[in-house]
Amino acid sequence: MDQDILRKALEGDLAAFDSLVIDYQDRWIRMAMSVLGNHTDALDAFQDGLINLYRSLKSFRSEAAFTTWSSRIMLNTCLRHRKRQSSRRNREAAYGDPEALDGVAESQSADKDLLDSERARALRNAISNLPPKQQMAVTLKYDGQMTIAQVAQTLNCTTGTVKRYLHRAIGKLKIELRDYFK
Amino acid sequence: MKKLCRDTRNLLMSDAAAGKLPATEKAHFETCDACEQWLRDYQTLNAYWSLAAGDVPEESLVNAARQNALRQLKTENGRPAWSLWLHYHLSWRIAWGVSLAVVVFVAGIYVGVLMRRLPSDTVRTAGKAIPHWILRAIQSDSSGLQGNIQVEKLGLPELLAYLVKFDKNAGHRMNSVQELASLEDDQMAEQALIYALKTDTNPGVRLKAIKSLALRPINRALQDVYIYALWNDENPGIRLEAIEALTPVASHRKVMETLQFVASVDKHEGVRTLARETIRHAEIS
Repeated sequence: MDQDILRKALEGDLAAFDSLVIDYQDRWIRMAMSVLGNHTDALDAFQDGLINLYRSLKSFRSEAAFTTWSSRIMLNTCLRHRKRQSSRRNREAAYGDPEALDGVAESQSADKDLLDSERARALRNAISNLPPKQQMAVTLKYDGQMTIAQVAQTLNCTTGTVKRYLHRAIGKLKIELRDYFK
Repeated sequence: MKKLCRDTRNLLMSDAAAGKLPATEKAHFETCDACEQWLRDYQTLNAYWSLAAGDVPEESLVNAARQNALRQLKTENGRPAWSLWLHYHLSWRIAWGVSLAVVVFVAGIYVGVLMRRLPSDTVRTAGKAIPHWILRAIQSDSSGLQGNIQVEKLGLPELLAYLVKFDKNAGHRMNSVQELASLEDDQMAEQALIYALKTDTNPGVRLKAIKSLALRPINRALQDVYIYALWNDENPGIRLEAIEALTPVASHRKVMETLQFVASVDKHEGVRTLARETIRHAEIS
C-alpha cells in the first residue's frame, strides 16, 4: 500500500480515499456477500461500510495494519445490516406475506452452471448459519483473504483461537453441505 | 484427536497449500484415514468457495455503490461536526416532533368541534345496528373519546372513519377498515380507506385497506393512491396489491410509466416480476 495515499486519505482527501478503497473493494464485497447472502444487501452494506470507514479514519492508529482495521469496520457494518435484515424478515413474516420471505440469495449470473450456482448458494446459507465468531473467522480468512495472524488481530484473539474457529466451522459446514459432498 | 492429526491440520490451515507441506506431515495424510478424509473435505470446501467467490455483484454496481458513498461523503465534508451530529441524530426527531404536534393540534380541534356539536352523553345502543366491537372501541381509552359520543347522531361510516384516523389501537383500526370494506357505495368509507392506506403506521392495517379498496371499481382517486403506495409503501406485500389493483388501467400512460420504473428499481424481486408481467399483459391486450 502506498503510504503517501494512506497519509492523504487520513487527512481527509477523498480522492486518495477512493484510490485506497479500490484495492480493497473486491474482498470487502465478497465479505458482505458472505454475511448477507444477496447482492442488494451486500451493496448497501458495502456503501455504508465505506462511509463508516471514512468517518473512522481519525481513529486509525498507524501502528495497526490498515487491512485488519478496515476489515473489522466493514465486517461490523455487515453484521449490523444482517441484524436489520433479520428483523425486517421477521416483520414481513408476521404480515403473512409469503413472497416477502423469498429471495435471500440471488444469483445474478444467469449463465452459470445450475449445480455450481446451487452449491455456491448452499455454501452462503451454511456460512450465515454459523455462530458469529466462526462466521467472522471464515469470512475474513476466505473472503477477506487474510492470514491466520491477520484474522487473529482483527478479531482480537490468538491464532490458536482462530484455528479452533476454523476447524469447527469446517466441521459444521461439512455437515450442512453433506448432500453436496457425495 | 491425536496431536499429530491436530498439528497437521493446523499446519494445513496456516496458509500452506497441501502440496507444500513438509514431508512428515504430507506422509501423515497418506497414512491417516481420518486426516485424509478431512483434507478431501477441506479441498472440496475450498472449491465451493471459489464458486461462491464468483457470485458477487457486477463490478459496475460495486463501483456505483462506491461512487454513491463518495458523493455522500463529499456533501458532509466541510460541515461542522455539530451540524452533522444534528443532521444524523436529531433532525428526524425534530421532524417527528413537529409532525406529532401538528397532528395532535388538528385532532384536538376536530374533537373539540365534534364535542361541541354533540351533547356529552354516554353511548346509546337503542335503535342502532352498531356492532358491539365498535361500541367497545369508542368506549375504550385508545379512541380518545371515553364514550362521549351519541351513536345515533353519527352514521356508521363516520364512526368507522373516526376510529381509522384516531384510534391508537391497531386492532380497532384493522376492524374498522374491514367494516368499511362492506360499505361499497359510501364515499366517506372510500376516503377513510384511502387515508388508512396512505398514513397508517401498521402495515397490516394498510394491507387490509388496499385489499378493501381493490374491491371497488377503480377511479381516478384510487388510481392515484395505488400509485402512491407503489412509490412509497415499504411493505412489498402492499406494493404487490397495488400492482394487482392497477391491472385494469395498466395501459394508461401514468400507470404504465410507474410500472416500468418499478419493474427496474423496486427492491423486491416479486414486485419487479409482477410489474413486468402486468406490463407485458397490458401491451398484448
